[in-house]
Amino acid sequence: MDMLGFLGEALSARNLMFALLGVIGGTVIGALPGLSATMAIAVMVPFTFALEPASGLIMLGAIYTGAIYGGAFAAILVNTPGTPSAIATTFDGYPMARRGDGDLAVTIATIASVVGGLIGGLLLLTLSPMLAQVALRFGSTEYFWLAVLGLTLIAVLSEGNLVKGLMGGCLGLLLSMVGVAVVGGDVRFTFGQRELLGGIGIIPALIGLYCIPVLIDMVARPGQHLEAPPAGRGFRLLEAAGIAIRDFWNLIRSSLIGTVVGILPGAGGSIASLVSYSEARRTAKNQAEYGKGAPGGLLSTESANNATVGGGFIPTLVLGIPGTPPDAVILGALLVQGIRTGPALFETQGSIVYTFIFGLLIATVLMLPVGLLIGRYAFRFIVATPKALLVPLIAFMTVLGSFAVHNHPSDVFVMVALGVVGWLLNRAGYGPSPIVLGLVLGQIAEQGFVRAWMIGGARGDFMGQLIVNRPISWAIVALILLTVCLPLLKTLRNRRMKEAS
Amino acid sequence: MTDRPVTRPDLPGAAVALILLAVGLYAVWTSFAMTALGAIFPRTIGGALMALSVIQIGLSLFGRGGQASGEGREASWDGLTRRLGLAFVMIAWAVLFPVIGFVVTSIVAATALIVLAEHERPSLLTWLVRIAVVLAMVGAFYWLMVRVLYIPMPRGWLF
Amino acid sequence: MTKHFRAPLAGLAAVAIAAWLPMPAAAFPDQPVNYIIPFDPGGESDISARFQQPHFAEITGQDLIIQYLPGAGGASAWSGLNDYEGDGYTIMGTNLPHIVLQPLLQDPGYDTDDIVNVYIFHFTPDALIVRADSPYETLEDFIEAANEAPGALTASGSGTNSANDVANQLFENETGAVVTYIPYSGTAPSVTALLGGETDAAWGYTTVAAAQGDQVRTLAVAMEERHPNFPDVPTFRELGYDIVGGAYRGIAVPDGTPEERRQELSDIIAEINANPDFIAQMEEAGFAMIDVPYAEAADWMDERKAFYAEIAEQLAAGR
Repeated sequence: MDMLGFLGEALSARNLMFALLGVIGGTVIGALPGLSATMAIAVMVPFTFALEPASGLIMLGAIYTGAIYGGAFAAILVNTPGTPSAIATTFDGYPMARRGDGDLAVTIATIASVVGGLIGGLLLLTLSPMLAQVALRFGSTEYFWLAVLGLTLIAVLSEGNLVKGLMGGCLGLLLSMVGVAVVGGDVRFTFGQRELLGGIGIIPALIGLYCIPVLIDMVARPGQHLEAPPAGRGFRLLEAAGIAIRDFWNLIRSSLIGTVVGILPGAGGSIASLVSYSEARRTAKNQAEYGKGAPGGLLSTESANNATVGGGFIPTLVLGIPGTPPDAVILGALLVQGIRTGPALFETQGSIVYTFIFGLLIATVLMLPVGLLIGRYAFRFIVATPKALLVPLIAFMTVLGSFAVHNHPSDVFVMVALGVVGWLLNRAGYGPSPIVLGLVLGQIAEQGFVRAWMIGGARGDFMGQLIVNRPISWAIVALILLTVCLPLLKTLRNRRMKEAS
Repeated sequence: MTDRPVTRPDLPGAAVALILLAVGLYAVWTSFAMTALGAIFPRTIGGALMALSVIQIGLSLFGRGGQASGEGREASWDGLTRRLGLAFVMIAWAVLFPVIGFVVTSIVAATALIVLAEHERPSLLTWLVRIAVVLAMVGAFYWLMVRVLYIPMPRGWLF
Repeated sequence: MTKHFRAPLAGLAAVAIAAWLPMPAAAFPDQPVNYIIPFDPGGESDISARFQQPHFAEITGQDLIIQYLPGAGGASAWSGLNDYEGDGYTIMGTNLPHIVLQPLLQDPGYDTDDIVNVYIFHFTPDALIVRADSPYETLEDFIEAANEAPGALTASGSGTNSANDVANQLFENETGAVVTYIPYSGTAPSVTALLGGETDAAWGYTTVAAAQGDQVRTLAVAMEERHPNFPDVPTFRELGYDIVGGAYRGIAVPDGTPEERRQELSDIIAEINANPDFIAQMEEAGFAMIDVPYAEAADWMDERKAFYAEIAEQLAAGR
């Protein structure tokens, strides 16, 4: 069967229906912080056994891509990233919602997600075997430097007080070390609490640090949470499309970063959107607006995180190495269906694989109407609901969401505790984002560095392992230097110019 | 807001820096009981945190504390009682739900939050509608968790 | 359980009798059973559970719901196992050597004896794996290279104090070679490191060899006899090294579960384990079957505990 045949197969009424159902379900699940794509897919797997392999896989893929996209709603409307990949969405999405552009932000996020998802999916379709090599070229060293690149965002986010931002980052890094260390097996900073052995949950921490302060601010003042839009304002689709077209390169670059970084097993999802955000800001003309509601920031993170879906499937299908936990569940479903992943997959099981990839692309396109509609209702709902109902609703979701991650009541306590502490710290000038970046990237940085140290030690050439013999690391380190040094130089020049005048 | 000259001593900033200095010290101190591999990061990061804290204490006391990070959250203290009330309800919710039971705790806590978030004096009917919404919300999600996602809920005294 | 009665007449009789009895004891399970996997999806525990899932539904008429509770190499889930209700509707995957080594080497919040295993149903034999283009054609090549420069060769594996870590230690004990073990956060990154050339070899299982196919070469497997799926790969024993073992996986229940329930679950898992389709599926994926039912599980665990105790001391001393 040729490619068109596979496309036709994916477009069959039944497969379209599964794609649509998957996207709707995934978007709703993703919009609820704490309910993750992994959970939804894991529950659905047994049902797919009764379906044809391709239909089942299309539905699972649609849930996955919908869930990654749905995370944008909570991030934009209530400042709560339900997954690490939505962290950077809060940076500009929430300020946009605060100033009355929540509907525009949701539409921009939708367009960006569709474009990112399509680019990721098309690369999966065309260049998988080649791109899978990326997963193999990135060693522990490169993971370490990538995490450091993500951490440089702290400097960007802490304009006005770098020292406080760095301190927050260090605190986050220390929090990331809580629990049993993967390398070395030490039990660190658990204070004898067995609940902390598994570490501080990233999702409860995200919900707590970002959402609890919003709730605290919401109860303090009367009035609505978000301003109501003028009557009769539509999706603002044309406006959003105009913004996306003007910022075309940002969209493409972020999608490519998302795909390539998304290929990296284990780290891709959380790093991709941070790195593309940092790159978007570095190259933007309106740098000062980033973090205060720049549509470009939203475009970059949302296109990058949906591009990771296609990217993550590349090592899953080509190498049999799942890129993210949802990929791993889908890999398990493939195995049960008797499909062997690996280099030969595209030849031996071509019909299923290509139908699946086309199904994923179709699901991504379906995200546009589905997302616009769900987004419109989500926005209207948040705008129209009085605070006296919105606060208990959101509060209930934070409790439910942080509990549902691991079914541990202790996660709820961690969420609330970090939320209240984070709120107090913010009052003293220590913002939450540096802490979050430290927490999310800490394990990637530490494990990468310590492994490079061990391997370098075994081969008697630590510096060679860490940087000297690693061209990809040179490139990442160059980006780190650019990100850190350019703003410093600019500040210095501005200061000199001020003094001169 | 970046360039706003701040000349007052930043006492909260200094206080937090003092606490973080202690945190850094703890990390470095305990790292000596770890294996060589496990100790690299705690020691380095703990050390960095201590050094930064010392710098920040100096900056804060000499009136160069710096504004809250660029995340622009209004630093007002109005409605402090309500703010603390919310923090209290959330903590109580987190601590009590495994003991008492998910449904009962959630209904009580959510009702408390309705009261906290209300600044007007709405009619009795409005109250009843809101409580009905809370009941429906808790019920629907409990059903979703237990019957659809099969998440085992903690066993409390009550439901 | 009525399905054990062959003749329809006997079935009818059973129904008739059951109608008279006050408690219908025949109906376990009459609702879906939660099967908690203490790891992220995609690993051996998950895959084998996914293989069991359809057979469980076929035998009992009820769904097996798989959930993931990763954290601390499984310790997060195991330390909470006995907090679940002991009604037979919550079961949890267990892994050896994890549940023996963790309490010996750390304080994971549980004791090995706290965990009630109702069945040990398979194991994944340790396998030393290199890239297909590696210069090491045989195990002897690898050992020779390791002896030339002690510690310079690296082997990736999943986690510290894990089955892979134990395999490396056993290998060093038996061969005298020194190989630097590099722990990763799971099998996936460990295999990525091998394929990408970051490490010289990987400690994995036969399942890894099965999944990676032609990209890798397996130097030896730690089985008593060759794996049916890899007739060309020698065992360590054949090559003169007494290494047999791997990661054993079982199913445990909360300690409040009544004896009768434990036995019923053990019987169901035994039935799945005896299904030829299931065995074929498992072996093709690289798993090796074993059968330790509830009645024998305690003795079997004692034997394994004695075996791992010595290794634990060596691992602790090596850090």
